[in-house]
Amino acid sequence: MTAITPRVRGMTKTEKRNQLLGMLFISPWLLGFLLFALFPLVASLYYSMTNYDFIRQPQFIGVTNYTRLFTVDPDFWTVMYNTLYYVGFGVPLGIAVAFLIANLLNSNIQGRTFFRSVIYIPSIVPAVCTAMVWLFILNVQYGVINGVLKTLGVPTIPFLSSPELAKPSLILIYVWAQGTAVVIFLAALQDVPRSLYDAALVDGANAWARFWNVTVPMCTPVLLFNFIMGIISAFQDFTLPFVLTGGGPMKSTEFYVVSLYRNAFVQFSIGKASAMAWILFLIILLFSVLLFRSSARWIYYGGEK
Amino acid sequence: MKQNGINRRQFLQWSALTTGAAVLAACAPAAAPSAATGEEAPAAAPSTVSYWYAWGNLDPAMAKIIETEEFQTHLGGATVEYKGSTNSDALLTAVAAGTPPDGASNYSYVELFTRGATIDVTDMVAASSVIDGDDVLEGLWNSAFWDGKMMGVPGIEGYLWWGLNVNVDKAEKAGLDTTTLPKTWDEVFEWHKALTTKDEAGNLLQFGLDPYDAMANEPDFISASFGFKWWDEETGKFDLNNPRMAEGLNVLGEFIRYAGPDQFAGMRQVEGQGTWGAAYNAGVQNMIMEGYWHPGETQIQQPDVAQYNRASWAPVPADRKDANIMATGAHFVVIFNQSKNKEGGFKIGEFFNTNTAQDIIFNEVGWIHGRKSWLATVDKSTFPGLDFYVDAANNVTEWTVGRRCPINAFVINQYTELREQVFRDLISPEAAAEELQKRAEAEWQAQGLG
Amino acid sequence: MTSIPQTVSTPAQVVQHPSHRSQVLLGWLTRSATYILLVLLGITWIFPLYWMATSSLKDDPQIYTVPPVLIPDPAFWNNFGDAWTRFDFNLAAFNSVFLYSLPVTFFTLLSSMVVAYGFAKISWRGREPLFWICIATMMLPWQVTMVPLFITFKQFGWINTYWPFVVPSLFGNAYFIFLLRQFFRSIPEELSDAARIDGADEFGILWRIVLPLSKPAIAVVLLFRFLWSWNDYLGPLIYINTEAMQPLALAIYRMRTLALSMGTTSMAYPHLMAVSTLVALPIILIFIFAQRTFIEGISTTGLKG
Repeated sequence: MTAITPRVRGMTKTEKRNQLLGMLFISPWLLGFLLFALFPLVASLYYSMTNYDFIRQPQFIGVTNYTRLFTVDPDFWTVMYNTLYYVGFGVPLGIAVAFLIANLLNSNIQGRTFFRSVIYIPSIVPAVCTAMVWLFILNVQYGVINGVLKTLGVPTIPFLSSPELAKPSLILIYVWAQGTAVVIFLAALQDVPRSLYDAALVDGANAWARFWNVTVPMCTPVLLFNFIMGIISAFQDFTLPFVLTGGGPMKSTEFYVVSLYRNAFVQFSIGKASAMAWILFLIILLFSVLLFRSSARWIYYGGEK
Repeated sequence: MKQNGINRRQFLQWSALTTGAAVLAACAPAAAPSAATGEEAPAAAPSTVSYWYAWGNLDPAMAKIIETEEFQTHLGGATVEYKGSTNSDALLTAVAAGTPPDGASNYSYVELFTRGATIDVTDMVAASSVIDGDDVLEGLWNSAFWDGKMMGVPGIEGYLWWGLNVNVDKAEKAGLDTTTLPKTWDEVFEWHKALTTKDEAGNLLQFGLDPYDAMANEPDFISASFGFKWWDEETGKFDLNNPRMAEGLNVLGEFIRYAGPDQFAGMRQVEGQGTWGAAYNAGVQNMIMEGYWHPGETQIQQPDVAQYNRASWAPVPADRKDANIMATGAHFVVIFNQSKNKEGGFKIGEFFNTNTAQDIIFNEVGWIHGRKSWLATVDKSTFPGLDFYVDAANNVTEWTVGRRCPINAFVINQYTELREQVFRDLISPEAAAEELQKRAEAEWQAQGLG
Repeated sequence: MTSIPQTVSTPAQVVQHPSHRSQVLLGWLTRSATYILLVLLGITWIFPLYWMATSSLKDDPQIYTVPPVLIPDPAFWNNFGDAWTRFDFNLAAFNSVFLYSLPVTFFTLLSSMVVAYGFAKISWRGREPLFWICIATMMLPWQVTMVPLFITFKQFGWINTYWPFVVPSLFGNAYFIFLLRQFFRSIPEELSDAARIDGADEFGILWRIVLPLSKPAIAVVLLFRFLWSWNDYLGPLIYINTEAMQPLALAIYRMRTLALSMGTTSMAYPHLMAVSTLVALPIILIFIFAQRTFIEGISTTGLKG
């Protein structure tokens, strides 16, 4: 950009100055990266190979924490199953619902901004507040839903107190808080060229056909992006399960980060918690790689159409 | 062209911005305590003693104790910063951070001690002119020792842990004869059925006994009731995979099956219907396994329920109907390795062994610390149901010193999960007992205790 | 993704050819169905928040009545004040605002701006690979590094202070660095060059040229960083362990824990709902007043609420 001076042996004076200035400007981030990302990541790997409880000195025990987690640990596979259940059902459902709502909002209607706000606000309200109100709404005795059921003389539904229903109930709340995805999808839908719909209309395609043949293909990139990002973030959900059910009943909502927190800061099994953190890191790394590799396909999509 | 460096005006702009920010940040943490309860800055002042505890209801007693002249003299005028309702996460975090309080009570004493977080107070107690081991009930005093070392200063509360407390008003209304309270599990179950009611839609309105609530939550209880020892302190061996454990899981599980597991869990999520007496005080739960504190606490928190409180022996199976089981164990003031004012922490514990402190705690909170000379002064009709606890000490046939296992918390956690699988009919009681044994042994080894 | 759209583009309107009557009828039916669906969805989505707000105004009999009371009558407006003072929520609000949200937001903006400038406006060797590393750290979940960071901060004596939140914010945030860099790059280089000729240095250009032109992006950073710290629960749960230091999210949770465990809990639900409403309200108000900024922030970078 500013390299207008002719190049003399390696860098020009301006280039040298820019090199220095550039590195100076980004140095806070670089330092932060080393201190708050790279160092703890490596430290975490070390702790994961120790027996450590904050009080006594860490003892090096190799990969024992990992093998214990995979073989004898009473909770690990339960926690993994719970998390995969939540992620596996919650994320696709959340994406589907958000995409359908976005499509409704994208039709020729009045009051789009209002409806979008209504859908979006739940996703930015503090999770502790929404947890409190959901606790109340879903309560077996005094919750409004069961209040209506009682009025009708129908047996109540133990949303959060039954091990079978607790996970679906949390998924329900997860879907309710997908306003962010709705906004992203709506933006993507509004970028779909009108000419494509016109062409489809000329071809005699009905609304359903237009949705499947124009809208969905055009939105595949953003759907895929949100899907993978959704998986990554749902894996880390903490506040809702922690506050709503505390992991219960019968550990049916003991999700990965809830368990990680408990192991680290309640049981003080730092070694085990660190091993869990690294396993989480690898899982998320896997999905991140998927995200980056598939991004090539989105650019292809975008370029072609 | 002045491209290098920052010119003076801009330098001033930027530095003003950054210093302003730095000042803001620097003020921030310091501003909080002053805005708060007027806590002093932790400037290592030797004249302050910090004391934390997990109880939520000791605060009024602490306030009164501190006001007494006797206490002021005892502590040499030191300021006491006490902090109630402090859960064990918060305490452990502070321990981990190297900033523990000077004294603490109502935490996992054995776990803290075996991990080396708290100190051996044998010498301090021996040198004390206030604490007299011979004056304290034997089991209670012995519970203070671990491996021959004293984990903390016994005090505040610690007496007989197990009694079946019954709301006799509710029982009479349910048509039960309350002249004798039930003793065997079969009898208790009959009462449970009579006291459990549902509305037409099948929703639970009230129930008899939650067999896993309060003191019944721990493996100590099921093992004592069914007559086996789940963990041997001498050998460190577990005996959870015991046929009587399976039997117990089945018998106790029946209580919850009868009321409906989901309904049961749902009731617990209602504000004011939590465990440890909340639901009993609300009149929703009509029987509860609690200890000497129950009559007094209920009286103080909910007098209209407390007036109907009666207590009797903890339930046992029919073939052990003559067994009078009882557990005991003291609460302590423990002092941490990294406590700044160990002497101050000790003095607080010491003062809990005076009649002054015990009277205040008894009247304000309803608690008893088993010091014989003080017990002799207690009027057992003060709180309904208290007479059982005062008289029981001489009629116990089987004593348990509670919460001795260093992985007690872990076992409780696993026990909670597995017993729920039993009463939800997901596994057999035998399988649950076997699994619990396996998990306990694995954890024991994982902690490097074996 | 190179610039933030100043206005949300108009939606792709469904082309209508009113060639014959059945098509008009079909269009009318579709629109009616869309409206009905949207209204139903809107009611479902807003209901939990409506329930939270209205339950704040009830007394215990209205809370526990079956069938549930939809509109509080009479409304107890003093519940808000009573609930707020039942615990020291003023102190918690002070902590949330002045110890956590404001400093963290301010420092994140400052540091991210400087770093983004280094990545966007100065050309130097190694810029691109480092920028990619910066983007990659967005994928590193905080939960993976929380245990080692806790151990480190504990050694600094930072437990029960807000330093573990404030200090890392001095080193920039990858999301916002990315967002600001994209925005900065859309500012014409001619403006910077002109300023250089006038004798301005890089800080001067950032301060006087780039910053005033970047207000929309800065607003996004401020909003989202504030939102995250206001809503944060796990962070304070780990680092803050006294009532005097706790932020609002922890105070609400603590109120609920106490309400659950006490035998006599008159007004437990109305008070819980009242504080939840009061804590959620600032976020909702900020959204209403800065709606466009929110929507733009999400549409451009997929920032989550």
